[in-house]
Amino acid sequence: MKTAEFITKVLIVDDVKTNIVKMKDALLESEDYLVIGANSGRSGIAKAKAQRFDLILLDIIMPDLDGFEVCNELQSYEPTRDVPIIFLTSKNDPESIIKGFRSGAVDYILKPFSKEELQARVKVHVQLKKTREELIHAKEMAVVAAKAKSLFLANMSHEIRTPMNGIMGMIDMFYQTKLDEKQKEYLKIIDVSSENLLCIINDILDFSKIEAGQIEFESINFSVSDEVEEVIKVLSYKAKENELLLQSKVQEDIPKVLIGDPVRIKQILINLINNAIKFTSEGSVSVQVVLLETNDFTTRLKFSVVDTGIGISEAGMARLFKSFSQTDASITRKFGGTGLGLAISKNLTEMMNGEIGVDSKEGEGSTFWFTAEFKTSSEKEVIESAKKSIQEGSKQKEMHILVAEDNVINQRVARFNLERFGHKVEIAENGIEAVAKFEENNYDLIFMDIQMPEMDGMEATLKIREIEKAKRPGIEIPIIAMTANTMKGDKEKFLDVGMNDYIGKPFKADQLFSLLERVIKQGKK
Amino acid sequence: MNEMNINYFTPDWSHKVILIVEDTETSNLFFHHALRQTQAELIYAESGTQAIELVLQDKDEIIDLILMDINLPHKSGLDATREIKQKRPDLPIVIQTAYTNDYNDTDAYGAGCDDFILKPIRLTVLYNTIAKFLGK
Repeated sequence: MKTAEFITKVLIVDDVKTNIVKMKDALLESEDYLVIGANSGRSGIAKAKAQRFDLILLDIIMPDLDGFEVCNELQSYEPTRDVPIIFLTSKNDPESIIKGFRSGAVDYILKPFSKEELQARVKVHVQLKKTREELIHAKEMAVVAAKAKSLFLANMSHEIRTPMNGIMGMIDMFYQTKLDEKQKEYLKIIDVSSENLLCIINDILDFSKIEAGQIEFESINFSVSDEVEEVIKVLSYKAKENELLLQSKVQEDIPKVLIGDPVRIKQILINLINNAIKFTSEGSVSVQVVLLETNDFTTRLKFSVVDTGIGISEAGMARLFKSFSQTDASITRKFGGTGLGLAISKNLTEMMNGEIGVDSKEGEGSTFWFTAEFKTSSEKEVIESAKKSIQEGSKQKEMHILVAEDNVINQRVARFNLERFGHKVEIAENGIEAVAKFEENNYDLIFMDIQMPEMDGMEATLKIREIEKAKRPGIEIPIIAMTANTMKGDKEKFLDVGMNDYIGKPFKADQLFSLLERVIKQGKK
Repeated sequence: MNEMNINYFTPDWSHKVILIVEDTETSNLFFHHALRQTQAELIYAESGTQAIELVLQDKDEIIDLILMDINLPHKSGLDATREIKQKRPDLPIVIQTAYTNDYNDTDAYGAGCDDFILKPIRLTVLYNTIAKFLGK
């Protein structure tokens, strides 16, 4: 006996009672369904809204409401939207069949129906609905679990670092007291151990974050040679301690400004250089960066860390980049470390569309290398030239621009700058006004504030895109979001509703100028 | 041996007043011992609200710098920083926290702090950071 919750419920909507009975008999013959009938469109809608069904069989030709209207009503009501609807009708013209699927039905069966066909189709769609629900549920659970894990990691990190602060801070205070040589030596061991412990904690947290897919990459302008220089500076004292020469060489024609996450690049480099220093007893460690390829969009670089250390055997190399693996368990005892460093580096490079590897011979040193892909930045040059143009008071090709913005001061700032660049400006106080003005006038560009009274910028954009679709499909006016609160993911939201770009408030005149240049350039294409 | 950690330079902050906002005893003890030897005068708060109260009472503006934790009872260090900066925008606030979320420093600077350091804090880092505002 199935409980009410798990039983499959089917609603049949048909104005002819004998049809309902025939279908019901056919269905019950094959499966243990709970079948309920409704003999008009209105009664069908009422029943579908009152309880949860797994499937609806819907006639089309009925007095008062026809099947298409019932379907539309159920599709526009959130709780019934996902209930699969099968039309069961004698209307066999192609237009009706197409209309049936367009209105959101999952299937279309012609009357008179074959019993076996009805049974089979109903079974398939009930199964599909259940599978879909299970998938949605599983996905929700996964999201909840990932959130819990990430929160746990953040708290864990905090809880461990708090007492570490007391330990490491007091070690530093201890150094300042009167200590004999033995005490100094012991204290130094505590000091080094606490630094190692902190490294391990960082490694484990990083690794768990990678596993949970929680690592986030920034996209910011940076200079490769500056970052390499900084890494060398940080590690030079360590190299000196081991009497090693630490040097770097960055190929000259690498673009000066790239877009990517410099913190991650430094993290990998520090990891590889630390390893090299650890396993090299004499000689040198050198860092080389070469350009693999560059175009307007992306730049690929190869970073190498070359040492004159003990080298690695063939077998050792194969295991190197796996988690929790060092070439030999005795290495852990002698040199320490979690064995996570290279696994983390491998994951990070892969996230930058790169590869990581090693070339080595036992006794002859090793070269650890990785490649990474960055966006090529032209922003700097653009901003520079924009600054120059503004200073020279040069004007842009005139555009008719609508600024939707409720704040009076921001209206004035936008108007002042845009008119200064040679444009014609109109203001809308809110989303409703923006949509109305868009319909009445012919603009080249719209700046859209996100938070506005009456109707916000997102909704107004959706409306404008709808109007365009109806009136002049294929032609879209550029809409630029203007907002003060840019959170991660906001940009995607703006693009999703159909905006083309965004500018954060407060913006600088040169930013605005270069954005307009971009719009003008795209308009020409 | 790494000599860097052993010979410290101790700054002279006599006549300077530092407000330490921290609720963990061991961290408080470290700040207490580390900063006492700079001759600075130290005042303590254990919550965000207490820190705000102290700043509001400080009519003569004797406080020269605040060392602010993030994870505090009643009101977080970020909120406290925002409120204090409204009253005294020129008072330097250094946020110090054990939270390592990748974008924490962005949150901290967003709240209006002047500098950000991560726990565990080494003594040289503590001195150098504060010295940016109080001199050496």
